[in-house]
Amino acid sequence: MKKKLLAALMAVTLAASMTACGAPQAVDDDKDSKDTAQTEEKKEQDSGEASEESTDGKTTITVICHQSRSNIGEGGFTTGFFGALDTWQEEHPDVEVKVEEMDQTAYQTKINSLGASGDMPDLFMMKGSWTKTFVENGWVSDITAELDADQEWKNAYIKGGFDAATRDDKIYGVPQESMSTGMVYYNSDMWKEIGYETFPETWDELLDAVDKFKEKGITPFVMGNKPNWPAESCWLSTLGDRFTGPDWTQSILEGSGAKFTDEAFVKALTAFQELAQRGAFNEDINSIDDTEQNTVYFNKKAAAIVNGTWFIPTIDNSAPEDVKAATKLAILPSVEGGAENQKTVSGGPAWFMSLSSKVTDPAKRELAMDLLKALTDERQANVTASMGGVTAWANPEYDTAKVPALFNEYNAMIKDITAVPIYDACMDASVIETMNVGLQSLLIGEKAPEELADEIQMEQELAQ
Amino acid sequence: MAELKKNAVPAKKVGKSIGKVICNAVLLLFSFSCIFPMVWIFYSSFKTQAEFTQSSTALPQALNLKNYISVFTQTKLGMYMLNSARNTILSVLIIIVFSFLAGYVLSRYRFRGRSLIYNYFIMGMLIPVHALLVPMYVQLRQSGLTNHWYTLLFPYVAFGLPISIMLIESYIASIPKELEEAASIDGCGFFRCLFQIVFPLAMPILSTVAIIQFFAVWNEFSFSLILVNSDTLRTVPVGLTMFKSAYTVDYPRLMAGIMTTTLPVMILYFVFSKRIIEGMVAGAVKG
Repeated sequence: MKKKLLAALMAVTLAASMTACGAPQAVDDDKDSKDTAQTEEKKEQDSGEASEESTDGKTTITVICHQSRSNIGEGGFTTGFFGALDTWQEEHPDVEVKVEEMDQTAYQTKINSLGASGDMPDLFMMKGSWTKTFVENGWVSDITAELDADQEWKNAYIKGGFDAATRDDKIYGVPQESMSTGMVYYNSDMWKEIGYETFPETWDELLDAVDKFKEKGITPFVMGNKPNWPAESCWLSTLGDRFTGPDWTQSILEGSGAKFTDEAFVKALTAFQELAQRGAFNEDINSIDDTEQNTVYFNKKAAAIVNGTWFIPTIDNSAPEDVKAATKLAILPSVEGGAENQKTVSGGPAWFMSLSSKVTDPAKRELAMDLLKALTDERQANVTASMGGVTAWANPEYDTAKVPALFNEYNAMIKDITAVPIYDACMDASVIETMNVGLQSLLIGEKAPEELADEIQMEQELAQ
Repeated sequence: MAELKKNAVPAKKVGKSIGKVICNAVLLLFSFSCIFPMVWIFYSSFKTQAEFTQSSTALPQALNLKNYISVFTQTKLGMYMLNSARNTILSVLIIIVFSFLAGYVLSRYRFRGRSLIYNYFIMGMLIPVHALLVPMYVQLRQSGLTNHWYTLLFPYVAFGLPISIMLIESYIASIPKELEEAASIDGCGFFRCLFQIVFPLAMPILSTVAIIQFFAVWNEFSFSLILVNSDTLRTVPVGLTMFKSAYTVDYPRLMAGIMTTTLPVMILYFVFSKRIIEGMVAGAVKG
């Protein structure tokens, strides 16, 4: 009896809470929101936002990028990219281009979720190191045929520009920006004070310079390795190549024999650790980040910094005048008993514009490829370069008088330097993670080079 | 003896006041460490990028409003704020209503399956958000629920319910049943009893729930990033990340953005600060 009563009461409560939702006010709320929902939906349909495919005969192309319009005018590539996009849109009024913008960190989360749920936008940006996964998952379209049909377009990029987006001779993406990650930016005034007119060309000279700076109480190189990629991306990618040579790296990428435990790579790690133990770096190496490191260099507390080409506009915009004038470019010195070619620097395009495998309709594919071309060829590259951005397009046209002086210096010197792969742009993500975290310990002497090499090799075997 | 006593008293007093000074100094230092970031963001937002890179702590050389102008003209932060505000207000209201009703029933009635329902809700707290991102996206996508103004309400309410129900359930259990019985004897109906007797008594815990959920929803990032594609539906946390470009961050401009978006929340906090602190204490044991 009692139970029945309770059950009845429960039912009543449930029913009441569902219908009334408490007070009449809440009901009003509900109605209001429904009304707005309807009007909103109408609005969305009017502007063609809600519908995925064509409304009134318009084709829609969706694009997702790790760039944001709010940064136009600040970054060369951002400006070039959106400029080319808007021009293309004006030329194609019958096509609706829907762009989703975000920053790089958020982008990595989002693109993987979209891929996993089979909802990839038509055009997207793919990191070179993702090529393997994206191809295996069938998220990205093979665009070799289109590129082969347009040789002029295909051949206008820097040598090896397509490498990181190529798998089994099929091309899956077109490069846009390019970069060198391991450039040495040094304050020539400070190096003169210890007797170096130019940046040292051999490793021994470098070690000698480190000692001299230490005596004067100046940090030779500042590194903000808290985000843990600078040591690997900016230093080890180049330093590793000094010892191993590019064939070894290629073999690692293809999985054809080379190991991280090979003597040459261990030597590179050892040299890196010795440099750190000699006092070449700031003591708070693992607790400042890649923005804070700039402050140290700008305040002349450090004599040099090894950074990517993206640092050129930063120096131009933010460095004090005297530091800006004294800053010169170099590459890491050569080592004894290393690889044949010692004039190398890690570089190349890290990101590629790719076409989703979901675009199956030939007419739409043609349109999307046309847009992809506009976003990657000189229409984008010339603007990017004229703002001091390094492009994968081999010969962009720009006014040399209007770009930062360092950018011209870079373009002049890079002609004699061979680009070698940036580790994190092409190696497996889990291998890179182990390497990056391990390097933090290596540089403060908590891990031996051999030990780290073993760990990376183990991860490499797991990944293959 | 008298002398000794005389000496002893001031020594004790001195000791006491030294203790006070130390105590206060520690507390002052602590509160300074909490307030300083806000102050730092405030004055840094007037600096230029160059000033900031050269010294991140120095005061700005001139009052330059460039960053604020850029925030209001180049970005859609205002729209993001409206979106965040709408999501937050609606989510918190729905969470309060649902969790109050569910919490009340779960706490006052003993019926078959009660613990099953209760544990079902509690289990929601054990599942990490990131494990559900993709399934949730697929589910909402298939049912055509992504990219609407109400899309985010689903995950926000669903993830807000467990902790809220738990808090409210245990709080209502501590309200004497006799109050409701007395009301009932005087002829008070179920709903009147629920909303005029229990609801006001549960106010402290309800405001705790409201505060917790307000912060959770206002700051939520992952769902907002994944479930919504259209720029017109973006929320503040996702919008703020757009201030970062690929390799450089214009920190002063980002700080201007942070200032703009936190100011309304801070004003709200100061207006309701007494309530909020009371609410915090009410949930202190469980929260």
